[in-house]
Amino acid sequence: MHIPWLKIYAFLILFLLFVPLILIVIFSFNDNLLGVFPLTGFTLKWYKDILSGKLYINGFKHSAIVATFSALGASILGTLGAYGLNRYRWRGKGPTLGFLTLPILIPSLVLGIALLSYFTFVGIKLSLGTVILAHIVFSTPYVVLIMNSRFHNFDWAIEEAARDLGANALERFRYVLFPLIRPSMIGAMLLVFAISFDEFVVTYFVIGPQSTMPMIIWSMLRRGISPVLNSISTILLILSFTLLFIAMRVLKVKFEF
Amino acid sequence: MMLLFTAPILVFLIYSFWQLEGFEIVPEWTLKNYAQVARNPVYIKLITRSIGIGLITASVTVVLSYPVAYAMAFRMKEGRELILLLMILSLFSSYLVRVYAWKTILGGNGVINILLMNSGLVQEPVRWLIYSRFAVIVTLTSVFFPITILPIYSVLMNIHPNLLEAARDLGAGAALTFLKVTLPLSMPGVMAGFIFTLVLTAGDYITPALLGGSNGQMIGNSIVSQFGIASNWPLGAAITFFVMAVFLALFGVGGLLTKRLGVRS
Repeated sequence: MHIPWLKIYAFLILFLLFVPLILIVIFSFNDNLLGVFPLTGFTLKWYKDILSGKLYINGFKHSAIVATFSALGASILGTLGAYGLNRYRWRGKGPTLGFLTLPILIPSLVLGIALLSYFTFVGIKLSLGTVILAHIVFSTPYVVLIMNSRFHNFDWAIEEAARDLGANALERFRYVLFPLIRPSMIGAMLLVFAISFDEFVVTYFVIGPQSTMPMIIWSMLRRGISPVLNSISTILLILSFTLLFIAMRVLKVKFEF
Repeated sequence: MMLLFTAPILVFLIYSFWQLEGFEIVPEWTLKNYAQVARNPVYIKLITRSIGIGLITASVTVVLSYPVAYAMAFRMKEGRELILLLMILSLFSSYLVRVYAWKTILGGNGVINILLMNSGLVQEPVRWLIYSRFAVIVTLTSVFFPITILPIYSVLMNIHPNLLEAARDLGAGAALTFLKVTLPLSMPGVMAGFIFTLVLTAGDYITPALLGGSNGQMIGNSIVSQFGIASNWPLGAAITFFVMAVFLALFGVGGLLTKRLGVRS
């Protein structure tokens, strides 16, 4: 009999990749103060602890604020960038696209401290606002890439037809362009939201006195392990998985290479 | 947009040439910071260790992920999409959460130690599992695994089936076909995955800070401390650009070497 070793290996590795995350989810319902084995009973205690802790609620709130504004900002800037790249034929389109997507290749650590020195240099006080700015900087390239692929095969005759029928620039955007690119924009926004909500490395340097959720996790991790970390992590995992699922649905990702 | 991104890097570069007097950053041009990095054995040690850990992690990751990518590309029709989906899910799950998950597994009363002790194999917790270079390498490997799979899978999928068929028609067996056709053609993807992982792991500071212990600290941690406790921004900036220069030099040499080898074979 032919044994499909490669397939078995592939699924085994995948399983190993997800074991840690699955364990976290299991432990989050485990009635054990250490937050690890043995499994001693089912409890929702650790989830109730999140609700009663002002710190955690605020963390989620701050993360949500940052992620929302970053998603809005990055999707507007990124869409405009991709629009400009594709609307007209011009030289230097390739290099410009390369330059616009450069921040993806810069290590987050470098980007974080560079932004910190910049904000200090210019004299901007660190706050959630600087975090949002920083998140817009590193997530706009993703939007540019997504929207660029949307505009790549765009039929510009539609927009010209609207112009010939007497629509002004605003109307053309509102009634013609926007409805056509809306799915891609929503998908890009969801992705940015998911990335921004979890982002730590850059945030660490440019954050002011208010903490986002990853900052709280970081300080908890430095202090030692607490079972509440399990329930917080589970919520974060569910959040990013859901966002990603919806985004891929909206963007109709097909995994073709 | 361009301003938003280029200005910080420029300011940062300028800082690396200024100096610290007392607790103030003085705009006086100097190369002192760079000299300090190059002369201090601690930084050199941390940089070599970071590159070492990066090289080990990148090699382990590529070796582990190649068969998976191969299986996806040539042995599966249905499972493929599921695996890709899982890879992307894993990429998008919070980095901190994944590091934390490994902490619960490798820790003193973590999953592995408890299993080992319950089975009677060891009497007390195995200490080197956590707060060690081992912990850093294991965690980084699992974190960057999806990043290496994707480029390898993508090049494997782009190998034309006719090429494999031609090799078989010319009498090559499965092993020979793999060695002479598939592997060389997939090298660009392997290299891309390797370099990505190397750069990202060698520059990481989260995993070493949380799981590295004193022997697992990397250059990223000392850069971060220059911006935190030590509060010597110019020195921190100088270390950063020094490391980036070392990397560029390494890639330059690596590129030349592969070209040489390519010409010879």
